[in-house]
Amino acid sequence: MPNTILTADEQRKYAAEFATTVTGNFIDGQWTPSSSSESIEVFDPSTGGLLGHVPDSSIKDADAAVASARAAQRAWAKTPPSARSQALLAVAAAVEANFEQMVALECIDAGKPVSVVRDEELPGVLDAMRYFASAGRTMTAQAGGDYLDGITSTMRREPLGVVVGITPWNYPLLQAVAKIFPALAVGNTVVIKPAETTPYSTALLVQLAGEILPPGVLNVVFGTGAVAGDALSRHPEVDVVSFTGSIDTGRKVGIAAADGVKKAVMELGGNSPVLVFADADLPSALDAIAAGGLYNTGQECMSATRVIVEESIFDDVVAGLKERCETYVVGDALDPQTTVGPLNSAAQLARVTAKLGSLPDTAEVVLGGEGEPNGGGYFFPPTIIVGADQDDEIVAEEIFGPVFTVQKFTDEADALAKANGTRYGLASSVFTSNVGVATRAQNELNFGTVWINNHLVFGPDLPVSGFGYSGIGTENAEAGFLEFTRVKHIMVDNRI
Amino acid sequence: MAGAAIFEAQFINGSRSQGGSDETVEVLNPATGEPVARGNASSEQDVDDAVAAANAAFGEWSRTTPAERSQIMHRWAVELETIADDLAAAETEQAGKPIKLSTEFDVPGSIDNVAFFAGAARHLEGKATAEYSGDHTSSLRREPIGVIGSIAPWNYPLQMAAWKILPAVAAGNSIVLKPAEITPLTSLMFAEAATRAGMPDGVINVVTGAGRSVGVALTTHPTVSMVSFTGSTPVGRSIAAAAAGKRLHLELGGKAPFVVFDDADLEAAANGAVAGALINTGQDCTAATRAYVQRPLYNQFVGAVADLMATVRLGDTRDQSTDQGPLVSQRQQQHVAGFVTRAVEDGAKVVRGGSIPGGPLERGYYYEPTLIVDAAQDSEVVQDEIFGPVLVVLPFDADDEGLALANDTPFGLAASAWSRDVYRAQRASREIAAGCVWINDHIPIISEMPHGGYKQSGYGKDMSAYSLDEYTNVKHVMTDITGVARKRWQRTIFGDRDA
Repeated sequence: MPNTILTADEQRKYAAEFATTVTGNFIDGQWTPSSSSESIEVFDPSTGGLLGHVPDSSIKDADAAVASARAAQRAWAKTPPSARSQALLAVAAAVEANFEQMVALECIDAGKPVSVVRDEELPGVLDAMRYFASAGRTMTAQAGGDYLDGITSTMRREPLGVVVGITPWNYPLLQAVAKIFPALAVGNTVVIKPAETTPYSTALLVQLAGEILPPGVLNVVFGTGAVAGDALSRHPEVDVVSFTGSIDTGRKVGIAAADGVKKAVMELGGNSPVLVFADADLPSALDAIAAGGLYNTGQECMSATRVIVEESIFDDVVAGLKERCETYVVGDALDPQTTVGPLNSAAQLARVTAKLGSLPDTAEVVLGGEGEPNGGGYFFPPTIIVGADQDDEIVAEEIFGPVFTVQKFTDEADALAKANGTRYGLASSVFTSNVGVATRAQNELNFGTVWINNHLVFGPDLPVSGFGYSGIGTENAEAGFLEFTRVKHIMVDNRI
Repeated sequence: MAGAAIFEAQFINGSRSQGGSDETVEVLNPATGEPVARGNASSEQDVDDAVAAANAAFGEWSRTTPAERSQIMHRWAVELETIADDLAAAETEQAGKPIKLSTEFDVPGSIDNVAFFAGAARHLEGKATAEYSGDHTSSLRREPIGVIGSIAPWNYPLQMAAWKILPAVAAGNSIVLKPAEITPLTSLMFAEAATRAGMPDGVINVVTGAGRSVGVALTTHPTVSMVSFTGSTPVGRSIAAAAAGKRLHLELGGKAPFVVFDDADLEAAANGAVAGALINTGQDCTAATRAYVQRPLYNQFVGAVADLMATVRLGDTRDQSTDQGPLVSQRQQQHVAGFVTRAVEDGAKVVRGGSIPGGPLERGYYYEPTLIVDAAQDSEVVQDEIFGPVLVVLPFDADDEGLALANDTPFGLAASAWSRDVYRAQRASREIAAGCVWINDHIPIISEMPHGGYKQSGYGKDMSAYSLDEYTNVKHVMTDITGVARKRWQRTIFGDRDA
């Protein structure tokens, strides 16, 4: 239930004021000045204007945050799951009470369309908070019993200890919640490091949570991946690193975590195939594909980006997709009419622009293709590319922008081969009315998520797993929160 | 709720109404015998209407997402928080519970149940989808059953309403609940709070009246797909017979043993026995009823329990200092008194209590904390459920004997073992046939863990994710992936003939 709705001007005013209050890291229950004198500039991607600064935290800051989390961990782990759940539900209620403030920070910081955040994303975040809040109350384990003669075995599921969460800039708040809430619910304490470009919704979250959770249970360290992220990932007192971001950064996090012999859960890039068979219900398929590719300006690791179409309907799909893309409105994130906001940063705009600038000769730009500098914002329009091959970079590599490539397939085997012909394995979809095709595809497709006749819909109670280079382990759902636990086997001799 | 207010004893399709029966439902305050509320019982037609409302609501409710159901239930928990004091007062007034118990146990426990099921129903257990046959993809669905008819007892009216309603509706069923006719008030408040939280009309319905009329109408109703009952074993048996063909969930009586080995912490065991026997005036199906104490500790244990029982304060249930309230009804008071009288006639000895207190408590249905020794193992007072503040203590010699005596009962709901020794503790937890075995404690329950019986104590679990299994069906969906017209297995019919 939103509190008083803020206008765009009020949102910008609030965000600017809030930014001035974030002067340090949140450690041991309070805002703590960084030991580093460096800071990171944060920009509004809709305008290119400077929003504020956060600390470029040092290794010392990371150490302090980890020490605080470590000190709080045993007491938090001994707090009954029901009490932890109650506390996390109270945090959800506090965020709900600051709904419009959160909308403002997320939209301005990440460039997300305000109507989307208000109607879908923030309600989804609140649902995720409430879902994860009870994670510690329903954990499964193998049943206890006398498996060996004369010995009773029981299985405990315990928190791992201190969790480091490193979150990306595409869903700053949702990703912070997806790491913090399950980790805390099952009894870990957390140090979260938000992406450099999107710190503020996480800042408000930890501030609100700080009123409810014991000191040290949830800490935030701002900064770069290279310094703060690296220090947290390899820290000997950290038990698990949960990272969402690019493959390249993930590899670095994984190496750092390996150095500290700790578990790393990785949700990395994606490059989702979308198979469209000739027997698909085309209008609804095209609606889902357009929405699935343009949501969050395509900065979505499950984005419907590689559209692979049965030859006979190729032209219809290209024309239909173009028609739908043209109904999307690119603009300022705070304009309620906007459905495609800016890209998140100048750097991301440069990356997408560069990829579109190096298309193969065979490729043809059917729609869009160039950035749209507009009042200093990082805008890029919906773009459709045809004629690119499986091995061309524009098809083979993740773009992370509002860009579709459309390829052809000849038969079911060719479709599956093209879909699977990638190192990524996060998500995929199949549009067909044939139940046999749909059922076979769910087994054949080598991706953690397979949608049949839809794309991009998900919820916190459903698992997201990256296969191949798309990651390690699972986020969300029971499988996801069990990543933050360890299994302890108790064997009691019965002297018989 | 002072005086005999007229109240509407049913809640059907989202609103309270007066029952259509000529029979009266009268709620008395067991502490005073004074009427609290009076209304008309539900008629057979009312039961029909309630079941029809539940059936009409089922389709849409069963198709809501777990997230949507969860959201309503979280709001419901918040609603209940706001009326927690009223719920506690009503529970105390209708059931005779000391206000301490209502405030600290019944009400917060029930609210926690709501929060628990709001979360638990979002990921139900299932086996993995795979091509087990090679030619098909097999996947599982867990689906709600339909309209649930539930009958709840009078000992924990609010908690029992919660245990019945929550897993059922969290899993997508609709329900018609019949609380005990003498304690309907908090069940009605509970259901009304759900409606305020956004629960669609008809998902939760409450009818009130006697078991023989309203209960029978509900449990035999053809539209009711599952019957869930908590109450006595004899009634459970008749319900099971009447509801044959429907899915059943029965939480019946108990006669919990309390086994004290000679190395136990005597003080802890004595405290545990008195609290475990007297909680809710002993009207608790897991109450400690049969203490078996190893010979070396026996005399000391009996003495300590008698002394502790003497400190238990009976009194006004609204008073924070009251430890033990009355029994729920005069009938129950006579029932308990009868057990004690017959035990004495059979040769048992009353060490403490054993009578109805006089003075200002006389108008209520009080009964003294009672300690009985020297009863025979096969006597009624040891074998049958008393449901009152009566503890029988018996000695044993060898460990084997203590455990055998503990299991010498038709019941199997709960038990406890008291020992400092890990081997004894493990052995007791392994060998006692009951749905719950406590080690060095007796009584605590928790939303995350199941409650339910072995043997004549019934079957099916309340609370915990296991209760969601009770209220769901598992469907196997097997989809051909070969696409061929003649399947391999059809050789059994067609032999080698070509298609």
